[in-house]
Amino acid sequence: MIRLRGAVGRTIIARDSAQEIGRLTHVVVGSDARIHAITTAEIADATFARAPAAMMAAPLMSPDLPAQPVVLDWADIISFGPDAIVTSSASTPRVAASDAEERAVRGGTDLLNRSLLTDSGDMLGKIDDVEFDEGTGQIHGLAVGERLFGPSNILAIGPFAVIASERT
Amino acid sequence: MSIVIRATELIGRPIVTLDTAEDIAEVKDVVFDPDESTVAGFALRGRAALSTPNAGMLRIANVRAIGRDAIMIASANEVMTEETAAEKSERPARQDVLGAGVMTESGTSVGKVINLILHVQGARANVAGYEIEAPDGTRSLVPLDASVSVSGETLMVADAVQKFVADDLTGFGAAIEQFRLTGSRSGS
Repeated sequence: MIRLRGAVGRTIIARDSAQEIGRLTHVVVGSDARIHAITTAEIADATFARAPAAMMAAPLMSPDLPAQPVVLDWADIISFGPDAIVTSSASTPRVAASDAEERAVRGGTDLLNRSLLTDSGDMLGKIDDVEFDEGTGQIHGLAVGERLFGPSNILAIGPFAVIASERT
Repeated sequence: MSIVIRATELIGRPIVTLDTAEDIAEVKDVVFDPDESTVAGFALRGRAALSTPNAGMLRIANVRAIGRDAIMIASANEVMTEETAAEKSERPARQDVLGAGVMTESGTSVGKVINLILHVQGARANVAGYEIEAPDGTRSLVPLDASVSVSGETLMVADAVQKFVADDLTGFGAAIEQFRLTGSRSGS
């Protein structure tokens, strides 16, 4: 089980070339409280794409590099490690396939800092972190202040807020 | 958990669906049932600045919860268009008491009604009293039990109510209880 806030910015590496192809920027969460995909700001310059990952750390952070945000489906993640997220190749990520995905790519469905609303109509605060299974993408908890809401408490994830039940 | 609020605090409160977590509308007006002294429903408007001024009607029976930050409904299907409500004769009864003059049984004018005070618990809101403004601009709260009768122009209250006004919502609950304990409208 890992926490999302610590995973944002984690390197995405292609297994076939050992090349760094991006960094985790956002996650796409379904109504089933499971992460369906992650998004990354892809590096569009082919020259940098062929350089060894270790030499790319500084240029990757350059504000001059063009970037096209893309989607990496959870099914295409080979492993979600503590230091890198591994996928098969640099061609695996794809562009957003719908308006909803486009919003997600731009952070529109992010859980971090999203408002948590109870089914009683009371706002409890902002989501500080998300605990999830790095193997399946299943969300196991939403941290709001000192409280952790389990998956059975999550009623809906939508554009206005995440709705959770306070009943244990 | 129950709370006491002014009816105008519900204006602008978002209507949020439990199935999709979307804010589909907001409260434009609160509709009252004068016979039951309860909130009968809400007239709705769109959420965005330039959105539609009329976004339908929501009956109180279709509300799952009235919270501090949102009014919760099961889904967008709970909202009726105004046309549908009229066809089904389900438009909630209403009586506009805001602006009505306040008169005691002994014939003293004490001001006008500027707000309704609601007791909200779960998905229901009952009228607990009125907020009145005296001619000198001072404001006070009057328990519902102190009212004798009401029309569109006048709210008549018991003479005894002058002993039980509160100038803040926190103390209002105690004022209601105190009036109920002394009971008589002819005063103690």
